[in-house]
Amino acid sequence: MSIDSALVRRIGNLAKIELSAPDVEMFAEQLGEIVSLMNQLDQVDTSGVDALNFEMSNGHKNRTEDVVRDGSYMERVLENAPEPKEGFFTVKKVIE
Amino acid sequence: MSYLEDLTISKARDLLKSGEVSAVSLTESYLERIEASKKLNAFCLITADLALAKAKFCDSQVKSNRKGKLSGIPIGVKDIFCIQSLPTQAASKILEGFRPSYESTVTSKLWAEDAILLGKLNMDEFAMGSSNETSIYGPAINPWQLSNKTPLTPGGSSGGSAAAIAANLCLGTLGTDTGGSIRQPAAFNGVVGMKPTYGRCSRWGIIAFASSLDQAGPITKTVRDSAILLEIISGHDKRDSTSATREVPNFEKMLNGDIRGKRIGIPIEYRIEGTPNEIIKLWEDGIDQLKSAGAEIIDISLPHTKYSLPTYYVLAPAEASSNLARYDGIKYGYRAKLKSGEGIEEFYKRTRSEGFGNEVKRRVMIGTYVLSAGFYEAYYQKALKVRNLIKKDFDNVFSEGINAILTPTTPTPAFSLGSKGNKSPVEMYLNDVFTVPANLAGLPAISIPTGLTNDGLPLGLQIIGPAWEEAEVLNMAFRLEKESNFKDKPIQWWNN
Repeated sequence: MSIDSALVRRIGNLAKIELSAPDVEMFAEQLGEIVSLMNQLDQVDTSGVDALNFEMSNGHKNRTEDVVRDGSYMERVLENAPEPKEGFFTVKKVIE
Repeated sequence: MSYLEDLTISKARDLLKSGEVSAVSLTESYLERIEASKKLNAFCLITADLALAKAKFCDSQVKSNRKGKLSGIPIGVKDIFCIQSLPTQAASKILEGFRPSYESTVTSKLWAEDAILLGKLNMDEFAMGSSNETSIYGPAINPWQLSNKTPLTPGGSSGGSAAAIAANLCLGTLGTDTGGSIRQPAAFNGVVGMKPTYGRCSRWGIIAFASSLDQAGPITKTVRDSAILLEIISGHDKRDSTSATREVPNFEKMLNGDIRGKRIGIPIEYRIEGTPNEIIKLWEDGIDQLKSAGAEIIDISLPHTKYSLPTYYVLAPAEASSNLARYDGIKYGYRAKLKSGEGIEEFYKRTRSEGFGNEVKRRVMIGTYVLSAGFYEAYYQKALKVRNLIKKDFDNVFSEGINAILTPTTPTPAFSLGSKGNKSPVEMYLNDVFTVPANLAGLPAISIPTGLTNDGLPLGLQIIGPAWEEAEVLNMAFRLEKESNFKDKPIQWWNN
């Protein structure tokens, strides 16, 4: 399927990226081109083939114990925050 | 200055050990070279004071026998590695001002061996790109030039790391490789770039792009230097559950150049239409050189090769869209200004819209699309199945006794900045055609320079090995390096 403006706007909304009208036009064309590349996968018969996942690749099966190993460094956690206040991150109001 | 020209990590190690050169004088020389190379835009951060302080420490250790394996060796690292307290932004505006409060595992291993950090290196934004042009710092420039002096791309995404080695601005660098981001720039700059087996090195503290594909690795002047750095950065890390609990071999010690009886596969599917004759010739020369060194050359088939690019361009964006969801302007990095009356939705969207460049937006949107309801099966699951078929192609040839595979690294030499991908992103993606399969299959692969184009630009050959066989791959590369005897260097046009 081709990528139209409505779909680009929907994807932008899901991806939380603000798009201007010229952006929508540009990305519709470019994403359409990338989707045509992706559609080459339709040529491959994958019946009976399992999806490759992390654990299948190279047999990694490492698990760590679920225990607290560190903590109590609020300053370090907040030191990169754009506008920290009284030991908290600040966000926009999310309820009316 | 003259001894610097042919200096490598292994030679510097000897000079520092014997006391012929001090860490401080070596560091000062390289800092001068970096200062004089601003036109290359390879470094995005220079850490001169820290480097000199560390060099003094290294010199003070000379007699105590407590020196690390890389004591006094000047190193640069890609801007994607978190370095404690230093600006780290993966060449993105959205990480403006970010100074991590922790250190990546692989870089901490370098510092534990007393390597000296000279600074951080330019790259494509979040490692998404093949030309360095998506960097917020502007592109690094390839030290190699054509006679018309048009600025050429150093490749990407680790373009700054490769350019810095080609211009001799440091002795070793670290890059990362998700679809060819170490090997392609290494080929474009006439240097050695190694992507290890997935799981060989810890990804902890490396800014994530596509977690099932990303690996850190060295870019160096020689194969020996690659072996030295790889050994140090390898190994299990409790903080990365995908890092392997395997013994790390002594890669340098295993370099003997003896490849007699080794079976080298030449995949027919890599003979793609439109590949320039000089790249075919380079490949044929490489085949002859390995043959005369006693290797057996065998034609092989990897039938799903042509689906590697579409598979990669589904899976890498899917993982990227998930990894990059964390950049929301709340906990760190760039935060957009809002107009009165705007709320949380505008806050997220404007922050990400102003903070990400267009290539990153394209990939986040493609990733969001292939993971969204209705398309997940058709694209994401389908690509994971094809990925399995691509991996099985490699498993089959290796289980039939092939020891390694020889291919060109790139379908072209370095191209002019601004010449590709302006209108069509896919045109740029085609650069990765020979490098992506090793990432999808999780295999170790190295690019080494073996010749020049008729116009005088470097070209590289790639050796891909079975999982965990870096020692074999390095040893074959070591022999090919000797046989091809590539000694050319770019003319130093960039000095101020």
